[in-house]
Amino acid sequence: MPGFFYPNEAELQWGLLIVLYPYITGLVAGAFIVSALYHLLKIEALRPVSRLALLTALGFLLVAPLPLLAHLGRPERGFEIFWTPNLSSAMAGFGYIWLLYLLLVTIETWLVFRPDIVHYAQTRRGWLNPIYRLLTLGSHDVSPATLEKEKRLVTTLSAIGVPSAFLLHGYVGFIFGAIKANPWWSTPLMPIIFLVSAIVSGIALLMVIYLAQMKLQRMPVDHLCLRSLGNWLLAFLLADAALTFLEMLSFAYEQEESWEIISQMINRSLALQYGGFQLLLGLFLSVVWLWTANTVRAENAPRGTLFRAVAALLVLGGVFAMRWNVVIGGQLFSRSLYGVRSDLIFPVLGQDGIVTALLILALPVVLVFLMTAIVPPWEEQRPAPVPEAESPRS
Amino acid sequence: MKLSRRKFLTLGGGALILVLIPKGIETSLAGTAPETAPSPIGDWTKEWEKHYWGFAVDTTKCIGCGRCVVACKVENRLPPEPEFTRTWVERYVILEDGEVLVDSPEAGMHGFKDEVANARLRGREIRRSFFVPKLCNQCDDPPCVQVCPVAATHRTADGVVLVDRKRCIGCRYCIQACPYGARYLDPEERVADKCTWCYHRIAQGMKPACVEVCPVGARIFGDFKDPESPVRQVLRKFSVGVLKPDLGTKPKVYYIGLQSGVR
Amino acid sequence: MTPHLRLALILVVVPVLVVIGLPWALRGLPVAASETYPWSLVPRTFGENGYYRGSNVGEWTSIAPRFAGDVAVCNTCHQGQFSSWSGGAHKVISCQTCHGTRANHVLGKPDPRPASPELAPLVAMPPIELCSTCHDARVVGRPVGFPQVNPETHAGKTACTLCHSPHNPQPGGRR
Ligand code: HEC
Ligand code: HEC
Ligand code: HEC
Ligand code: HEC
Repeated sequence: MPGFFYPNEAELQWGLLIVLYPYITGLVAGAFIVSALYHLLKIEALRPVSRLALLTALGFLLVAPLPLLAHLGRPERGFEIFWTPNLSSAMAGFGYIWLLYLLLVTIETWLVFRPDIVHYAQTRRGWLNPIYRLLTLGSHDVSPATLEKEKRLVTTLSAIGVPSAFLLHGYVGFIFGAIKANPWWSTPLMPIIFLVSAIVSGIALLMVIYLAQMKLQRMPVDHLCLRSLGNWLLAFLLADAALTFLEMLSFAYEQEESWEIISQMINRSLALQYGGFQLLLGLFLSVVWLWTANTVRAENAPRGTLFRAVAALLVLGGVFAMRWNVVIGGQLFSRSLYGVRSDLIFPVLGQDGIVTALLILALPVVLVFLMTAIVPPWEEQRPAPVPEAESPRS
Repeated sequence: MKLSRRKFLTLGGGALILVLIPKGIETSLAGTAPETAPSPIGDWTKEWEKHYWGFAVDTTKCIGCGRCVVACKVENRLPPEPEFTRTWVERYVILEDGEVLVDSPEAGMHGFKDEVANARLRGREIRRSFFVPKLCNQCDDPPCVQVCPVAATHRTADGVVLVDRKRCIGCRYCIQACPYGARYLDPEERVADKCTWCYHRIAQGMKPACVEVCPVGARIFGDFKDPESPVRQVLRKFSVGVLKPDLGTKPKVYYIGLQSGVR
Repeated sequence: MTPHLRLALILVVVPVLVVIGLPWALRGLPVAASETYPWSLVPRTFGENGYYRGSNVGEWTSIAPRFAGDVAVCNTCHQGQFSSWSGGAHKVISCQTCHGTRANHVLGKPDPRPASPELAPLVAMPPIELCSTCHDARVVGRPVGFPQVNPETHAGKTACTLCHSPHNPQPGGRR
C-alpha cells in the first residue's frame, strides 16, 4: 500500500535528466579543483593531469546546461533566464554563474595551451592547421616574458576559479536545499554535501579518464600522480562520509514530523540505492580500496593503481547514486507525509528518457577525447620549449 | 509514470535541441489563448486595489460529492485526467487506534465509493472521518513565486497568484516548491498550471466555479475589503486554521474545523 | 595586456553582453511590439505592475466563464422548476450543480459540451447514481445529520425520481 499522494504528485516532475544535472556540474567542479591544486598549491605530483583536468572541466562544463534545457517543458523559452531572471529564485542565477564560469575556464584553458597551439599552428599541416591558426588568434608570441605573464594570469584565474567552482556547485545544492516544502531536500547542509561529493566525483573522473587515455594511447601511467590523486580522493571521501553521516544523524535524532515517512523511504524505496550503492559501494568500499592501495609496496605500483582505479569507478557510481537519491528520493514520498512509493518507471525513449540521458552523459566524454586529440595535454607530447625559455617547472 | 502527449518522442542530445527550438517557436506562435470573451470589465489593474480575496473551507460540511473538481475542470478547460487538477477532495479517516487513513480516488472527482475505505478499515473502529477539499492557497508569501526563475508566476494586487502561460519555461521548480501539491505541469502546453480562484470569474463579480456548485456551502469565497463578505463573517464566527502554517507561506484558504493530522 | 589576450577577452565578453543586453535594448521598439516570445524577447509590458509581464493579467480576466454567475436568471424562463426548487430542500444547490454549465444558455446560445464523458453533468447519470452521489449512506466520512439513505434498502432498483422530485425532493414535494 503506497499510502496517500496528492493527485498532482502522481507524475514524476524531475527525472533522470535532473539527476544528471548536479552530477555533471559536480564533475566540472571537481576536475577544476584538481587543476587548481596544481596551479595554486603547486602540487607537483599532479602535474601530469593538471592540463587534462582543465580540458575535462571545460568539456563537462559545456554540456552542463544541456540536461536542464532538455528537461524543460518549453526549451525554446530557456533564454528567458538570461533576459528576465527572477532574482529571488535559486535557479535564476544558474545561467549567469555558468556563463561566467565558462568564460573563466575557457580563457584559462586557452592560456595554458597557447604554447602548444602556437607550436602546432607552425608545425602541423593538413586540415587541422586552420583550426590551430584560428585558436592562436593571430599571435605567435610565445616569448618567455609573455609566457611568464600568462602563467601568473593562470594562477590568478585558478584562484578566482576555485570559489567560482564552489559557487557553481554549492549553488546547485542550494537549488534543492532551499525547497522548504520538501523535508528530504530542505537542509542547510545540502550545498556543502553537494560540494564535497562534487570534488570527490571530479577527482575520480579524472583518474578514470587519465587511465583510459593512457591505455588507449599506449603511454606509461604515472603511478606517483595516481597515488597523489588517490590520496586526495581519500581525504575528500572521508569528509563526504562525515557529512553524510551528520545529515542522517540529525534526521534520525531530531525525529521531526517527516522522519517517519523518510525512514520508510530509505528502508523500503531506496534500500539498494542508498544503503547499497551510495553508502556501501560509493563510500565504504572505495575507502577500503584506496586504503589498501596505500599499503601496496612501491615496486608493486601498478597493483596500487589498479586498486585506485576500482575505487574511482566505485566513487563515480556512488556519487551518481547520491544524486539519484537526492533528486528522485525527494519525490518518492508525498509532501502530505502520508505515502511512500517505489514503483517509478523511467521511460527509455522520450524527452527525458534513458536514451537522452545516456547521450547527454556520453557527450562530454566525447568532447574531452576530441579536445585531447586536438591539443594533447600529456607531458610526453609537450612541444619543446622555445630555446631561451626557462623550464616551466621553476 | 505516465508519459502522455509528449510532443518530442525519440530525440536525444544535440539533435534534441536542434529540433526542439523550431518546434517550440511554432507552437509559441500558434498562440495559447483559450476561448475568450470581450472582457466586460476593461482593464482590471485599474480596479484590483479595491479587492483582496479570501477563501474558507468548512470541513464539517463537505460531503465529498466531488462536483467542485468536475466544475473546475469544465470551467477552466482542464484535462479530464485526475492527476492534473487544480482542486481535489481528500478523505481523512482517523481510527480509534490513532492511525490516519487518507485517500482521494481520482482526485475525488467522481465522489467517494465506500468499498475502498471499508476494505482498509477491516472492521476497525472509526474515531472521526471527514472530507477536506484542497485548492491553491494563494499564499501571501508564495514559495512558487519566489522560486520561478523567469518571473512567469506572479502575485496580483488583489492577492491571487497567476502563471504566465506564455512565458513559463516548464522547469517545474514551482511544482517542487509548493508544499500543498497545488501545481502540475499542463500536459498539453507543458507549462505550470494551478488554481486561480477562477480569476476571470471573480473579476466579474462571480463566485469561483467550485463555490458556485458546492451543494452544502463548504466552500466560501469573498472579499476581505468588503465588511459584509462571507469570508470575513467566517473568520469572525469560527476558529479556523490554515495548512502547514509552520512553513511561513501565509496561506489564504482558511479551514473551519481543521483537524490536526491534516496536511 | 598582450593584444591576443585583449582579442580573446573581446571575443568572449562581447557576445555575452549582446545576448543578455540586446533584448532589453530592443524593448519598446516597434520590432518588439508583440507581447510574446520570440518576437519580443523582453515583452513591452514587462514590469508594468511588478516584475512580470503586465498584459498577463488581462489574459486571465478575459477568459469566458462557462458557469453562469447567478441562478436567479433561470427564473425568467423556468418559473415552474424554479419555484418548486426554491420551496424545497434542494434550494441550497445551484441548478448548475446538477445541470452543468449554463452561461451561454442564459444568453440564448448552446453551451459547450464537456470535453470528456468524465466531466458530464450529474443529470447525464441514471437517477439512482445521480442521487447517490450525495445521499449514499454507505460512504464513510459524511457529516452526521446530512440526510442519507442506503439506496439498496431504501429504494431497491426503483428510480429515486419516481418518489422524489429532483427539484423539490421531500416526498410529495411539488414537482
Ligand atoms: C432566456 C430564457 C432562458 C433562461 C434565462 C434559461 N433558460 Fe433554460 N431553457 C430555455 C429554453 C427555451 C429551453 C428549451 C429549449 C432547449 O432545450 O434548449 C430551456 C431548457 C432548459 C433545460 C432542459 C434542456 C436541457 O438542456 O437539459 C434546462 C435543464 C435548463 N433550461 C436549465 C436552465 C438553467 C439552470 C437556467 C439558469 C442558469 C436557465 N435554464 C435559464 C430558456 C432559458
Ligand atoms: C438535484 C439536482 C437538480 C437541481 C439542483 C436542479 N435540477 Fe432541474 N432537473 C434535474 C433532473 C434530474 C431533471 C430531469 C427531470 C426528470 O427526469 O424528471 C431536471 C430537469 C429540469 C428541466 C427540464 C424540464 C423537466 O422537468 O424535465 C429544467 C428546465 C430544469 N430541470 C431546470 C432547473 C432549474 C432552473 C434549476 C434551478 C432552479 C434546477 N433545474 C435545479 C435535477 C436538478
Ligand atoms: C449535489 C448533491 C445532491 C444531489 C445530487 C442530490 N441531493 Fe438531495 N440533498 C442535497 C442537499 C445538500 C440537501 C439538503 C440537506 C439539508 O437540508 O441538510 C438535500 C436534501 C434532500 C432531501 C430532503 C431530506 C430531508 O429530510 O430534508 C431529499 C429527500 C433528497 N435530497 C433527495 C434527493 C434525491 C431523490 C436526489 C436525486 C434526484 C438528490 N437528493 C440529489 C444534496 C443533493
Ligand atoms: C418508493 C418511493 C421512494 C423511492 C424510489 C425513493 N425514496 Fe427516498 N424516501 C421515500 C419516502 C417515503 C421518504 C420519507 C420517509 C423516510 O424518511 O423514510 C424518503 C426519504 C428519503 C430521504 C430522506 C431521509 C432522511 O433521513 O431524511 C432521502 C435522502 C431519500 N429518500 C433519498 C432517496 C434516494 C437517493 C433514492 C434513490 C436511490 C430514493 N430516495 C428513492 C420514498 C422513496
